[in-house]
Amino acid sequence: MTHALAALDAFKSAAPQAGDWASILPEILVAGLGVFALLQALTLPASGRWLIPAVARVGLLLAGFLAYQAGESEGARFGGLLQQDASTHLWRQLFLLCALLTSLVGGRFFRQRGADEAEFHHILLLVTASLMMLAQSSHVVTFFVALETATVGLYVLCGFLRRSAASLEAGVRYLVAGGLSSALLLMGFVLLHGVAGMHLPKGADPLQFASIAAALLGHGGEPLALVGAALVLAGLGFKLGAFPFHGWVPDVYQGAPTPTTALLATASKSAGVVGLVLVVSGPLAPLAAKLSPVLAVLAGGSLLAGNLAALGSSDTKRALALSGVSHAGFLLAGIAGLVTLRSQEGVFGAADIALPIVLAYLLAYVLGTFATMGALAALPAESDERRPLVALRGLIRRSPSLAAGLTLGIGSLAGIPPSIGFFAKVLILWVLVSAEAWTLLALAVVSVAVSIHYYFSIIREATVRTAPDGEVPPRIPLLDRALPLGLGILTVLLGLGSLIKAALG
Amino acid sequence: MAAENQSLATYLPVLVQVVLGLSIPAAILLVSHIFGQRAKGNYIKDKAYECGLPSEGKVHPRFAVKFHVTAMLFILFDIEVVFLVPWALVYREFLAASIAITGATAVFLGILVFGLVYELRRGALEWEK
Repeated sequence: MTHALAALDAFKSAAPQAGDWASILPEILVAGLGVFALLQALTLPASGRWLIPAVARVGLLLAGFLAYQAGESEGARFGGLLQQDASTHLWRQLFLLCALLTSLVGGRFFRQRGADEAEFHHILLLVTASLMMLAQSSHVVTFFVALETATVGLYVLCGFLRRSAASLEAGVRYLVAGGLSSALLLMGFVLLHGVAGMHLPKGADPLQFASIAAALLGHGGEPLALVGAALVLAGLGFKLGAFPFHGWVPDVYQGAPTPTTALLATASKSAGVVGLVLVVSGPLAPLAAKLSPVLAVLAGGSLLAGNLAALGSSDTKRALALSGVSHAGFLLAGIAGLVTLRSQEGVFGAADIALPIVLAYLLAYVLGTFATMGALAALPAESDERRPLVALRGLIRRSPSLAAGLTLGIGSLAGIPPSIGFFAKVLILWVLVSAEAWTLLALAVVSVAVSIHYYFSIIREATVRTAPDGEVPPRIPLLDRALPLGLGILTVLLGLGSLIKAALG
Repeated sequence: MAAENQSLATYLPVLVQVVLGLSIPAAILLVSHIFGQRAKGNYIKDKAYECGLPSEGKVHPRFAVKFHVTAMLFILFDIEVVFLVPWALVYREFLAASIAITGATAVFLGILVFGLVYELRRGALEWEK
């Protein structure tokens, strides 16, 4: 009891102010919507259940507007547990976009398969809220708790089709891989905390990102700190699905329900990216010179491993999963370039543009992935975990709009001009050029060339090859057809927009 | 350097634990491998025993585990109640020092109660169905 009393002053100074709560209004709204989805499930009659996804989507748009309104507001919140800056609000909007698209792809998908739509939206919204918290955390505890909350929700979403053995298997596989990665991450933070605790003056919080950085500034060479940094990188590498931690990716992505696969590929990968960016520019910033070669090796390995493995894949979801590994490689290359640039010229300069470029790459990846996965999820299949390439044959005859959406989405993922994916790739290559990472640049270019093969084999099946005769064209609702097509067109429009902007400016 | 070595020396028990944890299972496996009896496996021997009859049905059937949801929910609520213990210990001092603590706890408890209502209404606790 005396202990608690002695610490009262600390609590008094750390007690949240009204401004703190206002600053996380979007997160509160999204989490509240998650609880509200269950409340609706309890109270609405069967005829009114369409309201559940509708309310969730409107709420996500509203939260996106709030995050957009927050604009440039900066500063530490909740006594240093959170740190907001201009990029925070962009990350929030990215996560909200992923959630909105997943809800649009997943609504009918889960309803058709007899899964509970309200619980799906509940978990999706909670995952989104915690990912948004992750993007602004500046303390080991908020970072880890936010990441874990999101990951636990994703385990459930992987095994959401309870009647499907493949979905359950994906859930268990992801649980094992995710548990291992969380353990590694936590162990890494414990070691860093130990180093910080040994060297910081009394009263400084050795879990604060800034104080870990301060401690590492003088003692970054200690073996304990290096092992800790390596473990943190490994834990985040698992989340990203980066080489050599990508073993779980193909199986989980293939077995999980397609909307969950899309969420894993986009939101979970973005979480890995934002986590890595926060860690390398926060607590591990003093180790930049040591980190950039490690990140470069991870990036190069992911680029090669993902693309070479995808070459041999005859399943669409599996090929896209492995292509996701190579996209993780591109993102890591961007982060490696960012770290190198920072270590060369201090905090300002070209390094400042590198982070928006990584974000732009993620946006292009999100749009392309949802166009592709949305088309896949809309297509009827005997089992969701088996979507062989040959099943796409003659799609252009069966459903021209889906074939167009799929083709444009894949074109953007492959980086074909004038899609936004092309510009995203070019910008990452530009970061690598300014960081003078020539080996990584060569690997990236080669891997783009290699990836064309399997991306185009998907497009070829869907557009050139003809289906066996006598197949009945499937009836697909308008929304399910419009979403992939709209996203596909959006990738091209955004690409053209950036082309015009680049030409004018 | 000396101080560093000293601080690392305090982790010696951990090292001992790790070495023990690895070597004991390895030793047990090795001993049973060396001294254990071995027999050739064949199709009939490796099959699941079903009263001497040829086995039927799927290898992985789905079966109901009646108390599984109840047990899981118990663990969830059990852990959540643990979070209330520190709150119960300090809330008077906190209130006396005019630190807002009841609001956060009320939200937490509200979500907890809502979860309970949800599972009751969904029939998650009726295992006799």
